[in-house]
Amino acid sequence: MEKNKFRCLLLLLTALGIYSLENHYVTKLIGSFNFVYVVKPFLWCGLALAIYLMPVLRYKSKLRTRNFINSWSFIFAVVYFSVQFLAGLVDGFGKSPYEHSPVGIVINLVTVGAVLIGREFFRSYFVHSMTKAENYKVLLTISLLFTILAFPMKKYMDLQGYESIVKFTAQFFLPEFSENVMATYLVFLGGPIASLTFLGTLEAVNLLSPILPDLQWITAALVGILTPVFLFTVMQSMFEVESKQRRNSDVQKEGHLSWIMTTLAAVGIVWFAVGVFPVYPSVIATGSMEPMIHPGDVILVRKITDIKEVQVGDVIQFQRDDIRISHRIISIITKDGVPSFQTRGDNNSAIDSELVSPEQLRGEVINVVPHIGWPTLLMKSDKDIPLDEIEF
Amino acid sequence: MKKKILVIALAMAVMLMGAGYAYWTDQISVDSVVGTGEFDVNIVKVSDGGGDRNPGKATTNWEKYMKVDTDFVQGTPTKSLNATISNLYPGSVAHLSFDIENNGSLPAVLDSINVDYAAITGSAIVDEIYYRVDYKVVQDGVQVGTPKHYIDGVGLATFESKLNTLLSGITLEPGQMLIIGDPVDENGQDLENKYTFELPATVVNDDDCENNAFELSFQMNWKQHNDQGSYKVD
Repeated sequence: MEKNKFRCLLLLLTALGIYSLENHYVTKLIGSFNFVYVVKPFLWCGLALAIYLMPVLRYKSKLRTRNFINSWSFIFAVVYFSVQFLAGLVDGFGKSPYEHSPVGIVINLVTVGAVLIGREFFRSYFVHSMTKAENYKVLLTISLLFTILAFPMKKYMDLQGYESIVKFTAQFFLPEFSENVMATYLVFLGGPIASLTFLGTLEAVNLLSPILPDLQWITAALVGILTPVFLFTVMQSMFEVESKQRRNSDVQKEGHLSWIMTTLAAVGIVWFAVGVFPVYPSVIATGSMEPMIHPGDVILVRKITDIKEVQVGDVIQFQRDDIRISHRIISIITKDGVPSFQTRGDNNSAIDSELVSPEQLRGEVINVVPHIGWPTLLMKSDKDIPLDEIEF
Repeated sequence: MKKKILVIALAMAVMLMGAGYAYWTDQISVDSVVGTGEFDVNIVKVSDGGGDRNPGKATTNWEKYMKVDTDFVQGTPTKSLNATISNLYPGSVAHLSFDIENNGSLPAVLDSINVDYAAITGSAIVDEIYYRVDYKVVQDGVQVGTPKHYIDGVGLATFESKLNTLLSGITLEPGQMLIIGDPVDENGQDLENKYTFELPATVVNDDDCENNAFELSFQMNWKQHNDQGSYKVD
């Protein structure tokens, strides 16, 4: 065991060394093309060969379940990219940035494949040196390590400001982490072949498909974070049944499908409430729009994407300082090609004193749900509302 | 139990990200070359401004200056850019330049640029405006290669095709930056007194007077480079 841990440390230092080279000025000296397409694949293949020549470590699964694991690794990869493509039907597709000439495809498959083989052999040796039994600390630590090494150092250093950090974490880091959790678990069960089947299928689709889903970062977060982790939980249960550690009836009681639906519903409800979707809810606090909207009603607001859609007579919601006001458009004033909106509450005696500029516009009120906003108003009743902003 | 904790933790992270998305997002999904973890080319800086070719000339028509507004937010890399050029009058000038950086780990080739334009007021303006676009490629602040001179023309109808002639095929290594719009000479040295847009003082038709405006949107389409043959910047 001690020898294994020593070899493990050596391999870790080698992997970190390759990562450092990638981020060092050495790549500029030899050219990033030469590094990416020649040196790096060669180094990772060398590492894979070294691991292959080392004493074999035992995997969790027995030989008779290997086919089961490898088959399901492939099926889960298909499920994962299918979910991504389904999401692409909503958000749209873009041209793949990867080279699709025959030579380009071969170069990509060889270089990506070589790096992937090296990484998965390394992952397998690392996991099996650290633990013989299922160990979440090891699983998550190794997944985190592989996630950090997946991105160039420059990517981390270029992150400026809260927004770019959140976007990077949502769109790239956590999905990569989620995939690594799945890959690490597969490697624990069935060695590098299992994780290569999963990740290799995904990479092949990425490289070969002429179009790829061009997801907004929030959609990429939803699909990329939750799909692999759900697949991981399903794989775990399936393996336990297949290896007779648990009975099928016990696993069915867990209700994976109901877990997935519950999680998606919870995410959907929270996202609807905070305004991710094109329609969002808003609670009304005053009676300025009676009789159409009463205090305690919840209005459904549709986000406006084209300012030309807005017409006189529409009820719009706009932001004024810290509060949102929903009033009807009385007239539209255009200056230098830019429209501004004059508004008034139906129940107000006077027109609003300030014009609404396009930047203040939030959306158009499309529906009213009576009374259900009262709990929110009661919870917020101790907060100071700037009443001098509200005109009567 | 532990796997349930993992699922719940990640689901809560996704929920919180939704709040951030709702707070930060403007609409408009753009048909684009998709970005992956390794492939990442973005506009990272935009500089803009307007001025007068002959400041101090005594005429009331020259009290307003051509203005350039963009939707770029400093510190937020983006793959597309919308610009509005307004308050035009004969003799006004404006510059618009943007820096594009390859933040990925693969060399990238500029496949094409899509440029859409529309007059906001005064449709004749899009036919009268003079444009000039230069570029240079830099790495760590040092210029790389010798760029082509520049493209110029009158009227936005030819803008997109000329821009593509100038820029398509340019390869950016990881870490390199393409600066478009800053006026430079054949050696890439900064030029004084040159601007991206100019409404020539010779334009005297009443239809092209002040307060005209137009908008431009730039969409860059980058793709992977793994063919060692053709580097455009030599």
